[in-house]
Amino acid sequence: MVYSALYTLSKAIADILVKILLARRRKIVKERPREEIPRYGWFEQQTPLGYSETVYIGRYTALQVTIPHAVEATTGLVPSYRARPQTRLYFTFTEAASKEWFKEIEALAKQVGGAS
Amino acid sequence: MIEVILEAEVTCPRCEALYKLMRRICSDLNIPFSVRYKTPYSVFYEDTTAFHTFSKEWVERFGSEEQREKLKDVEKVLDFIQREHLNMYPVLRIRFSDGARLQEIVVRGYDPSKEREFATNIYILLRALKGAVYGRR
Repeated sequence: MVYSALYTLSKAIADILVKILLARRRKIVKERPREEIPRYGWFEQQTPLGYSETVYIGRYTALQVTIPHAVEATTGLVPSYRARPQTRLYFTFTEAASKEWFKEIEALAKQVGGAS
Repeated sequence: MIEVILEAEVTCPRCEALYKLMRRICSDLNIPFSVRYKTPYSVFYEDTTAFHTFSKEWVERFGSEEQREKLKDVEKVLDFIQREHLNMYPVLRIRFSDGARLQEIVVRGYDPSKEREFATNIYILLRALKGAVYGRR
């Protein structure tokens, strides 16, 4: 078959356009490398009060054991405990019987450092 | 954890009065309550409040500036008190922990004329502490 020059030219242009617009390659989106979060085993975590504790979560058993760092707390090895040492607030009976006792307790607890 | 400990002497009538009061409050609030009877000759195996109350070391460590300034005048008396085991009774200790550390509120002495005010104060305090420790009232 014999085609005119105009036909071949227009066909070539149309082919290019079709290739560009329709037969475009799909973009392959690669998955981001995620951080693998371990779900089983031993973890160290913070309690809402700011203390550190060790947690064990079992894989084949529904086991969850939390071990507070109470022993380290007594020796003062853990900084979160060192910041909040054990406290003892002293009052006399007249102070305890007065109306402003709770204010005194709050003031002393603030002085010591965030007692509940 | 929350508990109330009363350090008392056997022959002391005020200790008995406070014991009756605290027994009733603690049983009402369902808080563990125990009594430790101390005599002038009892041996202190642990840090008790009765032992530390009127000592020179206690004032040096926990006392206010005023107390430290006046320590020189009272030093001999304090040594005498410690040597002869003249301690103040009763001592009421409220121990509670906020998850990890242990805290104590210590009340020394007892006066029957102010029983009502003291009872209301202690009741409110213990109820609030129990709520804070266990998350409910």
